[in-house]
Formats: sequence, C-alpha cells, structure tokens
Amino acid sequence: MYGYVYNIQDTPQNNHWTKGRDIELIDGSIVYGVEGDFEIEQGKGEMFSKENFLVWLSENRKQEEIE
Amino acid sequence: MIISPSVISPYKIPTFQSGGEVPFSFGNALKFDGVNDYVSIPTIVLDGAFTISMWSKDVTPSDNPIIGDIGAGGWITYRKSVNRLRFNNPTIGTVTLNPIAGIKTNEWNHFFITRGAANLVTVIINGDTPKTGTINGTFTFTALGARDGVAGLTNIIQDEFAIWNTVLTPTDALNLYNSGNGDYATNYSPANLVAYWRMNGVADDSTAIDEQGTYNGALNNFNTATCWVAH
Repeated sequence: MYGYVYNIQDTPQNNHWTKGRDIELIDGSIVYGVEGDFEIEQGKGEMFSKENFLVWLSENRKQEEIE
Repeated sequence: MIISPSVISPYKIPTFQSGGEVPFSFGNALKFDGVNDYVSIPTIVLDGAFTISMWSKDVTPSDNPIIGDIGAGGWITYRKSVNRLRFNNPTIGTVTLNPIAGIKTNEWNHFFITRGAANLVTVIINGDTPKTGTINGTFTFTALGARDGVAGLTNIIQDEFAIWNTVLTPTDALNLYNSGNGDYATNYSPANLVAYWRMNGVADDSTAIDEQGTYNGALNNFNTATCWVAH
C-alpha cells in the first residue's frame, strides 16, 4: 500500500519510504509519501494500491516533465 | 594439527566442474516498484568508451530509467512501447535512439549498450539488429533505476548489471545474451569491468553487492522482504 500524510509527524513507524518522500502537489503544497501495510487515520492522509497511487500521483503531483 | 574445513569456513564451497567455472545461472534479481525505489551508488563517471550490459523486465509502457543521477549528471532510459532508448547528459541534453529491435514486454530483455571511437554508440537488445547513433558527453551516474530527481523512477526488474570502461563488440553482446541464458560479465574484458551488480540478494538485504568491490549500492525505499525475486 502507498499513500501520503499531510504532516510528517503522522508518518507511521516502519515506513519503507524514507528517502525523497516530499511530494509537491500542483497547488505548491507538500505532502509526505508513505509505504507499508498500515492504515492512515482519517483526515491525516490517504492510502491506495500501488496502481491507484500512481494514478493519484499523475493527477496531483507537480509534474517534472520527462518527455 | 589438522583443521577440518568446517572450522576454516562456515560457507559452502562451490562445486566446480572439471577444469571450469561454476555454470552461469541468473539467481535472483531486483524488483523496483515504480513509485520510490532506487539504488544509490558511489559516483561513476563515464567520459569515454564504455559498455553497459543488463537484464531487465519491464512492466509498464513508460520511460524506465536504467541508470542515472539523482542530480543532473545524466541518465539512460528505455521504453518498450515505442522501442526506444534515451540518453541524457549535460552536453547533449536528450538524444533518442529508435526504433530499436528486439525489446519484449513482460519478458526478460538483455540490453547491451557500448560506446567506442567517435562516440559511436551501438545498442543491441536480445542479440537482435544493432542500432547505432552518436552520443557525446560525459555521463555521471549515482543511482540505478532512477534519473534526475525522484519523479523519474523505474518500474522494472533488473539483473546482472555490468559496466565496463571500454568498448565491447557485437560478438560480446551475443555471447552475453547467449540465446537468453546469459553469461558472467567477468568473462569479457575483466580488467575493464568497473562494476558488476549480480542482484543476487535475498530477503532483508539492503545492499546491491558490486562483485568488483567498489560500487556497492544502497537500496532506498525498497520493501526488502519482497524486492529480491527469482530470475
């Protein structure tokens, strides 16, 4: 499972995602990536399957165009 | 005093065939998740002739970084869906080689990329028809499976990743491919073999071992319980 939290202090323990996890959104705000088998408390972030998280990233992340 | 072998070494002694080395087998491979996984390595600068040999299995129709720099030193990506390799460094910007024959989706591919005199690059995939182009400039690499920034991460499985600081031949490419059966990189110009990650880690390993001893890679963001898979 992959997702994000709004506040870094809400990061679950045993988060696999330890490097480069600042995610800048289209509106310029920053959230923090998380990865692992855990639930995020409502209002503190959101979790997805990998496929859905990649969709979420493509729709919400500020793009660094690689084409 | 006689010391029994079990006292000398706790490790299993390889079984050699008569007069030869242990037959090649792929062993394990490293699976990147396409979200945040990458392997950071000590900096490798390729400013002249070089060769890269790698086995890879892609799972998405995107430009998957083979190797790159988390900074801006350069990168190489491949994309099966449009049969292309792309090269980037500060001198050339981005150069695309396509169409390149032989890349398969969801199957293992052998990538052979070599640069020789006059910056002529030859790419051979799975022993298929060579594709050539001129690629100038210096590549500075600090990561496997990543390119500049963390937004460009790879969604592939990598295995038997080797880098030489010399040009190799199309015959070497065919022999490394070996009809899909592979071969040890150490059998080709071993004095010029800079790094060789066999990717034979097992669960909970967080290091991609460089068999040459200099460029061990650190796994970043991997789930080490599941990232080492059989090839």
